[in-house]
Amino acid sequence: MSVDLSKEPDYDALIEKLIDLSLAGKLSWQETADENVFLAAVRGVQTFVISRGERKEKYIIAVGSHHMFRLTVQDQEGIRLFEHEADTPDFRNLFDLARRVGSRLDDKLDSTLQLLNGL
Amino acid sequence: MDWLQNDIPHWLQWVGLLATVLGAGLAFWAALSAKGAKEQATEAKLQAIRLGSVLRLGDLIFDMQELQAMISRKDFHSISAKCSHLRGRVVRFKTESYNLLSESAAADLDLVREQLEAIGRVAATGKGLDENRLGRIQLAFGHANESINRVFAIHHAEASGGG
Repeated sequence: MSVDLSKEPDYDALIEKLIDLSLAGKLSWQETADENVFLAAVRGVQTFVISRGERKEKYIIAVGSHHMFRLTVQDQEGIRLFEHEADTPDFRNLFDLARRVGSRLDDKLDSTLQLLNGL
Repeated sequence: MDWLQNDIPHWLQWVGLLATVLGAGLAFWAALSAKGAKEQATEAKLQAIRLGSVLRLGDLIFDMQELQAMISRKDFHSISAKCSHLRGRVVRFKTESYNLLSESAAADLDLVREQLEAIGRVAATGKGLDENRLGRIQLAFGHANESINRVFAIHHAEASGGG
């Protein structure tokens, strides 16, 4: 298989796949000690770590995003295979999904609603 | 070769036939027994490896309890050092026990490894109030502890012949 090195690696396809799997409930994201980091382990072979960080640029357009998203893929021994950093709508969507699943946001919302319904 | 032409008594022919059948049966039984013994030896070896693996997991869980005590004491420096040490041990355990681990157990150990990594990082460089940092660390520790105990339970059941 020949690789066209003049083009950027196709990270978008990976992000889309991760979004699809997250939506299908096939990726169990887990929250960590860092509120901006979520992780998912797949079959004990690879681990996906998605994180959100502050943009490093000095000047940020007011309407623009202040965040940068990073996806790190690790092998079975925790060694980094590759890393991708970007601020795209899909990346943001994936992070939001990971946070929603990882922090069990829907369960928390349900219990809050139940509490309020009991008033 | 005259003896081959001799009439062999009927009863002797029967004895010969029975002896042949019995011999074939005994040979078959011996082969089966040897196979069974080999399987038993392999299984015993596997059980011994599983038992060793359970003991090592027990040690890891003991160290996790030490980490929990450090978290209770809010000793962030020790938490960070302990997490780094434990993370390395989890990686080694997973590598050395890979053939004994199911996909879900291996994934659980990956989660433990990464949770420890994040706990160590937050303990070392986390921002914000200590109480909030501690809360996040406790939450992550809970996830890691749950995962490693799940692996231990499965391993223990298998080593006890229940798996």
